[in-house]
Amino acid sequence: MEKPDKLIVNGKRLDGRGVDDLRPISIHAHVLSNADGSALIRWGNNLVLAGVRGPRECFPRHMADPFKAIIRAKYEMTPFSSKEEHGRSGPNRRSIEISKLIRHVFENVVLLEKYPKSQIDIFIEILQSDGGTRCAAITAASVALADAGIPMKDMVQAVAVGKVNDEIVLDLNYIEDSASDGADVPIAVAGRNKDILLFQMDGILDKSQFEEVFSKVFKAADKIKELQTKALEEVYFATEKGEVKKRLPLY
Amino acid sequence: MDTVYPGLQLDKSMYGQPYTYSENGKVYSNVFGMLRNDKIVPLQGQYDPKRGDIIIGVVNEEKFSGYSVYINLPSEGSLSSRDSREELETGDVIECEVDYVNEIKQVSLTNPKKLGFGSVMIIPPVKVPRVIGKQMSMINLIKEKTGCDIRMGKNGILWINDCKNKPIVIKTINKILREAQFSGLTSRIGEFLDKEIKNKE
Repeated sequence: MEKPDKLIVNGKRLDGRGVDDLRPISIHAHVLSNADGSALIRWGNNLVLAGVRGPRECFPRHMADPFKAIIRAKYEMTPFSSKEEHGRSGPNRRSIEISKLIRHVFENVVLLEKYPKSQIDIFIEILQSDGGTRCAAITAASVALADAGIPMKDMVQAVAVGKVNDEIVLDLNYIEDSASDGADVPIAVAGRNKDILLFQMDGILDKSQFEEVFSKVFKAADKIKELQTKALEEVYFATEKGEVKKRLPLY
Repeated sequence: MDTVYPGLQLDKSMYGQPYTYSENGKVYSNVFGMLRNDKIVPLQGQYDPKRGDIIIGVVNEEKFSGYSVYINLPSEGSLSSRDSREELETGDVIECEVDYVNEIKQVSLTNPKKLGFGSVMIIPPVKVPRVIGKQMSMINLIKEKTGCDIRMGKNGILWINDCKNKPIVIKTINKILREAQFSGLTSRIGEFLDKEIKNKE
């Protein structure tokens, strides 16, 4: 795809958003019947499915921790997910890294001590990608965990902030992300006290730009949190004459 | 209806209640659920074994010292043959009591009663109180109207004996699970059962 010269023109980005706008997000919880908890998130052109199994018996047994549960996360991109051919899906360098960081995010949030010697699995499939999939994945996985009834301290929201044409911009898409002069900073925060659970940086930022980054992320996180709780409420309380109207949107 | 979600700050009077945690003198919820009579009712989740609970299990394996029993938990329950008055076989459905839960949530069982021919249904354990009802009103209503024998274990395993109205019972249980979060359920289920039984005849 041809790269445009300027990514921000008159304060508007390529897809018509301002610098502080998120892409349109919609979340559906409890979309799968066999998983204990699940969520489907549509974040702009990203489409991410997260499923949770557990707590269940730890396998292999020697991995089990007698004091707490262990979390396993699997992030995987489908071969048809991106604009360029992604090749055969399966673990590669990138997906192993992202699986690991998703695991670390939720190890800080889930009350693991309640389920000793067991494991909680988080499976994430990227059905379509357009930049910022790890943030969408963490947001969806948080909803899926809550839907599975797993006790957590917090809901987790994640969003990327970056530098495009020397401006701090919220929620980068693929073109902005891959522009060579910018910076890309995915951040995950705990909804309750704004603890930083994930912080990665690709590129260079000034010290003064950091404050701007965090204020933008915290504002966006509040908006995402509202959507997450709405998605969960919709599953159980969307009613019509006492009957559940729309419970299972996928099947 | 008030819903709660993980990390939502609650009133201080909720301190120490189940499904809450406190940090810096503030009380927070740790599950997704609803607030009813100042108590958190979770909408999903696993069975939390407690001593004295009556549960239903399926015998999975016979060992030389006893049996291991599937009880809808990550680890299987163990039943010593010394505590068992009857000889059990693999596949038997038993109603038993939780004798002891150790620190890694392994369950030992006692006092098994063999349940005869029938079907087993696994439902979310958080919805068991709704299936049983206040003072067993719901389960007695279903038993009375259909003439089936139903046993509900606290771990979410339900046993129905072989009877002619079994499909209606299964339909009713599914309706209860779908509408568990709404009030006035018992009367609605009564009407539903009347209609179903009339349709059948």
